[in-house]
Amino acid sequence: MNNNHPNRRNVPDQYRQGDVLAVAVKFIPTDARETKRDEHGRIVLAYGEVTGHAHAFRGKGICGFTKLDNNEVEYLLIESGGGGKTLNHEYADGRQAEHAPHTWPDGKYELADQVSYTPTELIRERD
Amino acid sequence: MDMPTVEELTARFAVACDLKHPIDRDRITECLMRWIGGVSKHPVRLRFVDDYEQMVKDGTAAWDARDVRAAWDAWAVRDAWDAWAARAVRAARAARTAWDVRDAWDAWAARAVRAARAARTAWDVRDAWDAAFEVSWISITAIGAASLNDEKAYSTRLPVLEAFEAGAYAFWVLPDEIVVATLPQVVAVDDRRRLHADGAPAFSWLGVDDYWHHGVLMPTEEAKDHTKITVARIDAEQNAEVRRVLIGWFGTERYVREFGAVIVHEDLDAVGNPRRLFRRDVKDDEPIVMVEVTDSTPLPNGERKNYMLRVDPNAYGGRAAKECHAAIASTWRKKADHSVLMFDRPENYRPIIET
Repeated sequence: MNNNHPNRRNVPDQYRQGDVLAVAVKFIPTDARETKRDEHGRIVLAYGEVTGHAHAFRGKGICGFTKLDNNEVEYLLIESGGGGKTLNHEYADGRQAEHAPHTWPDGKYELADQVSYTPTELIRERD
Repeated sequence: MDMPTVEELTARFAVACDLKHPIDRDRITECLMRWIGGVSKHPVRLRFVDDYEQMVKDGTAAWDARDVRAAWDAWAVRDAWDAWAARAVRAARAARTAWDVRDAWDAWAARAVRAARAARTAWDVRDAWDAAFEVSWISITAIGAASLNDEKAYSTRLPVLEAFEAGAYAFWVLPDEIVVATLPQVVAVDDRRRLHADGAPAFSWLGVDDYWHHGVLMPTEEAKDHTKITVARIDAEQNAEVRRVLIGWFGTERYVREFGAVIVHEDLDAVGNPRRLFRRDVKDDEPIVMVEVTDSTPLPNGERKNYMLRVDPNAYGGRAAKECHAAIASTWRKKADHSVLMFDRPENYRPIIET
């Protein structure tokens, strides 16, 4: 955990779990549409390519939004009523996968992709 | 003719797009002959082709004979087909499952173009491809016709969908003959619909096995046996994408560390884990710059995984090639456009929590 980073002035809050990074934003674009939950009722931020695990939230008080064609969550709104929401790195049956869970406070977030560089293409990293 | 609903046709089409249904050559023959009978009075025979070399010969002949063939109506139908298909496909948006099949086809078409560029003798491969009627694509127009409630167009195009359901994959039109190839034995794609399989062919058709890695056509020998990969082989590879995959198979860490890489910078991350920045100069190309980071969450046995990310050496005015933190910050990009950095300055990448 890194809760005491010095000199955070003017730096928005950020939370990272593996290849998922969320950065606090002031607003979510009004033309972003709500994303659907998966068949387990989860909001999934990223799927592992070969392992079947996912970075996912469960329960109420959270909503995903996107402007992307593939319906992937691009923005998050957390309105839990105070306690925030816990992001799990888990298998479909709920078992914890590689990364430890952590709780994000209520607020609005923009998600980022991690990429590997090649001279011809930026390739999204998926753990 | 009673037209089924678009949903019914789409469901049939989706099943056919799995490319796993049994092949019924008699049924294919009956369907395609019925299709020909609906668009032309010209007498033709139908023949199946089962090997790649023969397909190229037939396809090249079809391309060379296109002027002669224009005398009968099928080719004119083909010429008009793409424009009509675009309209019909828009009307048949629910038939999106076709895209897996279409992407596999496009990948093979690109392969033919690459082969043609590499060797003039391979131009016949490209000609063969240009002359091909792709059955899954043309089949969509039957759904589009139903969507548009165009009974005549539907009745004309339905036999092609039925031929697809019976296992037809492509055909070529010669002056007096239709040559048909049936479904590929293997079409494997990843979640982005790129041809992909690990350690096995992702596309097998007419006796040819192709090894693809997330849309990159890989050299067969190295794809089948990764122990055949050497540093010299990687450095000799002309294609950047193939080189990237070979490095991944060879082992990024092994490649960077053991064969001429130097440590440009090293420090500790915010929680005290070591970070290192490697640079390996490549002749007549930009350097390969990779940052090594440590997973914040330990494995059950207490160890932490290290992993390597290749970074853009020019990001942040070149700082990504000199400083670990700038290198790592440069890997985070906007979801909508990966060319856009998530952070204006490397200093702005400061997670409160990392696991």
